[in-house]
Amino acid sequence: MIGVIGAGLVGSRVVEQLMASGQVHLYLNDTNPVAAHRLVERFSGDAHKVSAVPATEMFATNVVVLAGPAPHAKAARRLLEAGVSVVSCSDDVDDARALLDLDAIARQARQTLVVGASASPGLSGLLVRSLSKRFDAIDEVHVAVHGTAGPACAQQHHRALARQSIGWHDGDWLRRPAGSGRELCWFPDPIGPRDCYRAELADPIVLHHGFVDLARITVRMSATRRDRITARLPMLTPPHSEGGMGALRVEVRGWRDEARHTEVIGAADRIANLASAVAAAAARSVIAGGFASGVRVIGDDESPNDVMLHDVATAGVRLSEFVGTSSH
Amino acid sequence: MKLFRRLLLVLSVASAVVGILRFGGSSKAKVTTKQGGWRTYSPPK
Repeated sequence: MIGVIGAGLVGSRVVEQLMASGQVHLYLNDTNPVAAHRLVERFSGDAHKVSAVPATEMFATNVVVLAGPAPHAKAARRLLEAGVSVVSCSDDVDDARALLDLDAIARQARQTLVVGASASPGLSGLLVRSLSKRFDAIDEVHVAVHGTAGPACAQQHHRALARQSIGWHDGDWLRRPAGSGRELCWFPDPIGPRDCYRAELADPIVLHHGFVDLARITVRMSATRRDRITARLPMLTPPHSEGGMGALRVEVRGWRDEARHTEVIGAADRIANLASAVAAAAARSVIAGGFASGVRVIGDDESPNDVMLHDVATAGVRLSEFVGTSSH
Repeated sequence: MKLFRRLLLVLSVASAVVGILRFGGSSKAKVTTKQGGWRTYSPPK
């Protein structure tokens, strides 16, 4: 049995993905019972059933996908202690750190906690692991993300532009003001080029956990001048129910045939679709026994990355690689 | 009169800021060159 906590945009897409992959019964919980019941009515039918249940009923499941807004650490801890594996979609820096600290609890409970099962982090880790096979050794990963999922995600990205970005730089954590470090990043069509800036996003922390040999990890998010100026103010207008087309771009640098080599890969889709495809693939892999117990991040060398990436592609996520120029 | 001039000054500055934010927020049109392209990536089985 799989449970989903969060009936927002990502949660509803996770339910949809799990139903499409053959799950016949899911438990769903949300702090807003109306949203949960709306989802139940939408997805329950002759072949499938979604039950809106109180949070305590989630202890009866095998794995729970936390698809609501951060923080997830407290809920993850309670679920692990109750013997339930957890897949977290959180991309908040403090929350990701708190989740990574739950390794001892997860191992003691002999359960799995998958941290950062969304687009960035999540899909970024899968793509890095897939691209790493083309290298003799990789030492740099640079991630860029464009767009947001639901309103909670939009608010978190708004806050991320006003704080301190964090990156891994030659063996140390490097903090820089968010909104600095402009770089023009080319995303897969139809997004194209966007100015991207440093932001307080969790990808470096999660990727460093899964790829300890990397010397440099950075993450940037697209923003306009208006986004950067208003980042330190409350959101002036309510966020959209869904942030339109988004994209993820992952640049991997390393060594191949004793020369520097660079590969770029990405995906353009709604961010909620990317995140839910990864979260659903992770939940299925946990059920199938693909993950060992303890804290796992997507892309680490002990995770079933090939299976998950195949599941993500099967879910309709179109991956693209950048070609046409010399990457040496 | 002095108050009126100050009001006009504030309004003009505010209009300029709003105009820059409204029409100068996107840098997409400034990009004129592009190299390479995107090809569908199929993950190895």
